Amino acid sequence: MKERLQLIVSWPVFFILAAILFITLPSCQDEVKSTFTYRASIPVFLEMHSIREADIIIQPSLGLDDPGKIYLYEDFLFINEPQKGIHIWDNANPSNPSPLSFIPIPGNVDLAINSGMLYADSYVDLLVFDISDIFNISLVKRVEDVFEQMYVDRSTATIITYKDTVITTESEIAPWGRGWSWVLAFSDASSGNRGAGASQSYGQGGSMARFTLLNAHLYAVDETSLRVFDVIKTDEPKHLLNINLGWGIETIFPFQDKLFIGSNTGMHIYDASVASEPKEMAVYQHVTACDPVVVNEKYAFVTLRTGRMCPMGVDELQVIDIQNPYSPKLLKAYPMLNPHGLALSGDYLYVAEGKHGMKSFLVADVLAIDQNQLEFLKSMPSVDMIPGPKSLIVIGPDGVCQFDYSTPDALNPLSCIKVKKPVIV
Amino acid sequence: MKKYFLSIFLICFYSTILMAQSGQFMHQFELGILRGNVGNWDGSTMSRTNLSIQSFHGARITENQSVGITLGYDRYEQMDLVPLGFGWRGFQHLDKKVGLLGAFDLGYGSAFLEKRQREGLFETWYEGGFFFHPNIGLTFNAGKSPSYYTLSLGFKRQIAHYFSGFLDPSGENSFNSPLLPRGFSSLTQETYYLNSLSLKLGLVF
Repeated sequence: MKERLQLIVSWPVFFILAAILFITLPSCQDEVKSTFTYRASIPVFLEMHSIREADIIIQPSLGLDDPGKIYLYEDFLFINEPQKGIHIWDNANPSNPSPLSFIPIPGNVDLAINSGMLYADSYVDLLVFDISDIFNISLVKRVEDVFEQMYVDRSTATIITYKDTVITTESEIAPWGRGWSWVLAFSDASSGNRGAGASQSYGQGGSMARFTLLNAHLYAVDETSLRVFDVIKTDEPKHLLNINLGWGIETIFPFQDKLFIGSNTGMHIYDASVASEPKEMAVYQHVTACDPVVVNEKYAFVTLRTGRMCPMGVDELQVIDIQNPYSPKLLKAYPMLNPHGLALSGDYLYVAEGKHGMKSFLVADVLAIDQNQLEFLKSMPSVDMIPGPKSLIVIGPDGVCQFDYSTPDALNPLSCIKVKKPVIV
Repeated sequence: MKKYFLSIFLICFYSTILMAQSGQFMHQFELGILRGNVGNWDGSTMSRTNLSIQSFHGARITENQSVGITLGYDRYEQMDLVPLGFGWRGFQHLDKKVGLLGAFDLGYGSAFLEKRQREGLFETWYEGGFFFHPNIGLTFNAGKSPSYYTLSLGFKRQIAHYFSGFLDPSGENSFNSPLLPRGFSSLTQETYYLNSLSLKLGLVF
């Protein structure tokens, strides 16, 4: 008895701890916090007055964050940073390109260059920069209100643009309540993938441009129309007309006197022999898919792929006979993995296969392209390419890489301009 | 963070083994339950009872105290966790028939037993989280010193995460954010704070 008493007296700590435990026991209920993070395009309203008032001051070169369209002019590479501006790189030596400067252009997504004049969009306006002296670039003209589809209120010159952003919402839910996760995730799958097309990465000279020049006219496609500008006087573009093309217009590729316009549902062929008044020659329909186009005298090469904006598509390379441009005919389709842009150089075709790499083909016999695959560079994920005079320029997740393609069946890597935020392909 | 934790854990494990060679080693093996309450949508609660196994391997730092590492296995409703941590054990009156036990464990519950699953573009996985586990109890002399039985009551708080996300169907987006893993268009993260009453029977030797 004495021993037991002694034990109890010497156990005060034990009893204090026991009391704490019993106080906390009723709180033994699980808590759950749920965060739902999703990518969304949020609308941003801007007034053009304030954008136009801001001076455009050429800056020293900055690192690439998110490369967009790319354009090769003389020995210079122009790389668009979507919505921000254009980087200029000296590419005289493709093995060692060096950064020169950055032109900050709010709302810029595409560009084209004509005789020392750089045309670039800035939301609803078309800007003209004199780049004849690359070290002394100046804005020489602003053609206002030519891409007016972005206006939501003309009277106040208010435009709407969409910004890709990541949103996180938090909630406290019952434990193991996966039900909400499913509902939210599915709703995102249907509604969260909107409107990021403006930030996709392709270039003039490549197959996925939206600006192109032909016969002293600048052609610009937006999602629904073709806009024609007279640039006979290179520093004074005149907006001539809009041609409605229907929904889903994506790319424009000039060849000889024709314009080949890729859309989600087909390829439009326009006769631009009268450059100020392009006339429709034919519309080649295919299943809904994303589809850049390149052409030679006889054939158009079109890649169809499934994508965020065209999820129901197919992944294939189509060869279309355009010898009679009024009646294009599908010759053959070849299955591909996820073809993005493509480039044609003589009898050699290069296909960007997205995250799968890039392929090269000999296309002298268009009915046996699959039997004439030259290389499949799986280590070079790519989205588009430009067959330049000195190098094949490839846009991929590493940035902008260049290859010596003088031996077409054995591409030789020259250099890569690394980006801070790689494109996810 | 997990790497640092694992490194420290391994260093402690190694040190404990070294000390064990000097005869100062102590093991405790425990089997018991974790009992908690789960809230329902309608505000009501239902209880859960989960299996918990734990072993402690420590070195005596004083006559009545040991520190070391703990390794365990907790089977919750939806996931199995393997807690790895650092532990402290304190004893009093070990020489009596009934003595006292105080214990505290702190560490990381790993979810490596749960496989990452992918169905089409939908992917799910679990990640573990930190835990702490104070408990008190009684020791019973097993008659053959230095072995004892233990009965302990405690509170265990364990954090764990469940992720479910949709991959971008095209994979063509160029949008990067630290908030969203690469390649995902949406991600749901559910963080569980599992608060349990622990009741365990053990053997010290």
